[in-house]
Amino acid sequence: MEFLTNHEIILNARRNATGPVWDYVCGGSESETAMRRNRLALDSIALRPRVLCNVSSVDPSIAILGHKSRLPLFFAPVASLQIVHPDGAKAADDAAEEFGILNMLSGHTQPGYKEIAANSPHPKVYQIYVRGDDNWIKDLLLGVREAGYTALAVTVDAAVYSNRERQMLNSWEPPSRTNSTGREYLAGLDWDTWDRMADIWDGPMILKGVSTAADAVMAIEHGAAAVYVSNHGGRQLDYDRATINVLPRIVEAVDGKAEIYIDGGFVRGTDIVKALAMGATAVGIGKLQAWALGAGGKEAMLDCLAILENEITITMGLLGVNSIAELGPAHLAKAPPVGPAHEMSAFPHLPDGQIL
Amino acid sequence: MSDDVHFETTHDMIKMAHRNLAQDNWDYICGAAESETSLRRNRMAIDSLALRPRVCRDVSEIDTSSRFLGHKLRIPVMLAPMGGLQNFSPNGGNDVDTAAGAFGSINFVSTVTEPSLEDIAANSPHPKSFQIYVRGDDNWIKDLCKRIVAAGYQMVTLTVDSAFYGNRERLNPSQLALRRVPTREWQKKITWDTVKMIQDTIEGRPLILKGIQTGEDAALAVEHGVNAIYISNHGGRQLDQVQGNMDMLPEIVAAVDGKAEIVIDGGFTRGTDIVKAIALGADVAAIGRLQAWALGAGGAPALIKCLELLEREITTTMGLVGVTSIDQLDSSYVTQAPWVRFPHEHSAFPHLGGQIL
Repeated sequence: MEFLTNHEIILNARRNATGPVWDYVCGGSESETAMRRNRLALDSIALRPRVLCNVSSVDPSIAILGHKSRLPLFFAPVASLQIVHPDGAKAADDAAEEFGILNMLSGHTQPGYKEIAANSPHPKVYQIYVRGDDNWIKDLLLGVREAGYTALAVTVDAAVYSNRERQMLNSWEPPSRTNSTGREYLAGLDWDTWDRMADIWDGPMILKGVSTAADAVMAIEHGAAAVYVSNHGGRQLDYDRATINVLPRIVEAVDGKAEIYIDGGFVRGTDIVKALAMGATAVGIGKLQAWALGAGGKEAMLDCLAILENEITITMGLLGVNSIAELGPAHLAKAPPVGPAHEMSAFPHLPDGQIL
Repeated sequence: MSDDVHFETTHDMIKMAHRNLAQDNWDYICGAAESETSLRRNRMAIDSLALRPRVCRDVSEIDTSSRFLGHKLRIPVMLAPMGGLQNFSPNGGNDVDTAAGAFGSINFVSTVTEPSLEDIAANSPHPKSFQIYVRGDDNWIKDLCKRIVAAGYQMVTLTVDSAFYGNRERLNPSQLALRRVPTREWQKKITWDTVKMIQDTIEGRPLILKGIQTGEDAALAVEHGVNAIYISNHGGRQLDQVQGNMDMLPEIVAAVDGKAEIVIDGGFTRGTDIVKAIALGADVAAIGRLQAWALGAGGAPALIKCLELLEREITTTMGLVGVTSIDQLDSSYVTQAPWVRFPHEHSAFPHLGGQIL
């Protein structure tokens, strides 16, 4: 392994990135409050370790939509991975294949879904941005199904593109903005669109971008296999609540009728264990995925996954559990955050404690 | 007073230690696991308590002494078990033992410090506890317990928060590799049956469980006849993201309900810190990092001086809150208050240039 801590991965990613690309990866929308709230909320939860539990067989694996995953996490869909590293989504897919996790391929990343489907045999999820009419949707969904994707994630928190002020300050936009058309169709999404997509797809569907229990309930009514709690890493609606803070209500509303995924600021094994103890099925890794890709392509992504596996295993062992199923709310308590929250606040050894 | 020690404040002692110690030892002493949140929560919890001084009480005679498991302590402070003391001080565990004996404290001798448990037992006659890390099967544990008893330790401590070694990210890979020994696997397998077996082997000596962090486990420990509950998150060096120890203290005091003694450590560096813990129901606090900084500043004499400075702070604090003995302290002397600076391992020492050294 080249990297033994995610500190080093972040430092190397920063060195390798040009300014606008770095800001694209790290930034949020407007005041970046939603992004910081994600971390603030994670930093406001403490773990309650139980002792003398014989933890000689810790197993952090789970099943996601019936598929075995070596860790209770997956690569979240990230647009424009190809500008972070020339291998782009291929590196993420290779790392997912080799390590044994699922990846969700963004509809706005390169290579595209056909190349990625042919790249490796493991189960993967296609994430759709609806950018055309019903015929456009049908052609795309039939193509994705034909390519063999195991599930479809529909992103619903991007009706309009947010003000990402780091990008605006750089007078720069990612390829997903400059190279695509049909944004008005994202604004026109409603539950009828979802139902029509479900008829065509005829397989597991994930509603991505849920921030309220009310929408989680509607997702269940409309047959969602999974509810994906996300505020898009704080990159869409500013001043949204932290995802981990809305999770308990959503777990209650879903009531075991669907799987629950969550993302938003998860960069440590302890972060992931907290969400699982609150009832999430699995956690999506976005920024950290992009940092690892930027630090060194597939190999750095594998290092990053090994670091997370080590952190999750140690956290489970020190909490006194051998399996994810044993985690529960009794392992958690409220606690004050120990410093200002930001996208790197879980990494205290960055030079001068800075945000890079 | 120790004449050959050249500091008059803990500030200066920390600066001397920083000058004397090699960077890797400094990082080992000061650092904690992963995001170091547990470490910082320890300080934040202490910093979020205020004292409530009472006035017009005769405080001309102040007695700081206390007892732990029947043994007298000059102040309610003990010396926490620390691995690798030989790296910070020429005579390692013997320097701590010498200081404890000379000052009138109790030291915990770590399984992973030098010299041997027999050597340290023979160093000085004062009461002390041996601290067990499990590095072998049941026979290994029983043999170790027999050695502990034969060497004359009056108390035995089992550490229960170390099934895995915390990721201490300040350490370089070779240092971490040294600490990830294969026999550490045995520590994962211990259960309450191990506790029972140790109790049956130590010939009536009291057993202390170190690393308890929940009321549930404290109650279980009491059920198992454990004599003292040692509240610790290992100075934030094991599981990251736990609560500050002082935030957990009330839950554990309630669960123990007077049926065992209570020790606490984690960020205790000031007399006021110690007084707060006693007021909230701990019997004794233990010092780890402060102990290592003292050793780095000047071995056993510096550690004695450090304890004298703590004694002075505790005496001043007791006098100013209006009590003359440790048993007069209770929760009426403490209240919640906002912390004044972001916490870290040196945040009780604002004159270090505002920095983390």
